[in-house]
Amino acid sequence: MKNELRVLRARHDLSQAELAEKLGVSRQTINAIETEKYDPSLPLAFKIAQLFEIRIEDVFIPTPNGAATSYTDPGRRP
Amino acid sequence: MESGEKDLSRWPTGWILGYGTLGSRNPAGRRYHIRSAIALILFLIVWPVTFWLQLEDQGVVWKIIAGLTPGVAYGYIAWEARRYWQSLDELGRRLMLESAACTYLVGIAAGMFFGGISFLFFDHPWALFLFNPLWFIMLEPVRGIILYRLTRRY
Repeated sequence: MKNELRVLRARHDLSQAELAEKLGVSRQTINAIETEKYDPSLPLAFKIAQLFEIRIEDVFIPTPNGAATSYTDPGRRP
Repeated sequence: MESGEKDLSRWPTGWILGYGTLGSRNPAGRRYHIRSAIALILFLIVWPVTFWLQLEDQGVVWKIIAGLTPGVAYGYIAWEARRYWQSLDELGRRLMLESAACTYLVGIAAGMFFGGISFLFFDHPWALFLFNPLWFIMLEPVRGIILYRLTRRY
């Protein structure tokens, strides 16, 4: 699944570590989401959307076939 | 955006390879490393001493202490590991659980493989040959119970 996290983070002038702290996750998790190696859980996705005060579908963009990327299978990209 | 952090996951390789954890930067990580290290050190001191005492003294008490020490020490470490996993975020927990699951599968396969090899090439292979299937028989119900508990969450 594609996402706009890196763009949103830059717009709010936040580092990965700062964003991670605000969301209560590790910096590595933020990096994995930004690089589209990992799709966050629904609660975390909502938390991200709430933090940036936008809709969840403005952060995460489903791919045409609906396939999710997986951290353990980074080669599988839609 | 911090310069140089683009696309760099920077997982703590030393901690991962050295201790099998994702580091000790958070309080839960520090707690796990400190407490499990203390438990391991105590085990390495208490067990040889009590083992030696039960050989010398032939006392039942020392025998019981020597017999229980490994289980208590590693049981405590397992408990602390569980608490550490629970403190991780969703990606960390997923990685830890997946690594544990893969280790279990590799361990079972390796046990069976070496058990079979020992049966073919060694004079007295019965212990290893019997022990490996027993290990599997013991662990599978444990895995089933854990799986049952996990499925109750959903």
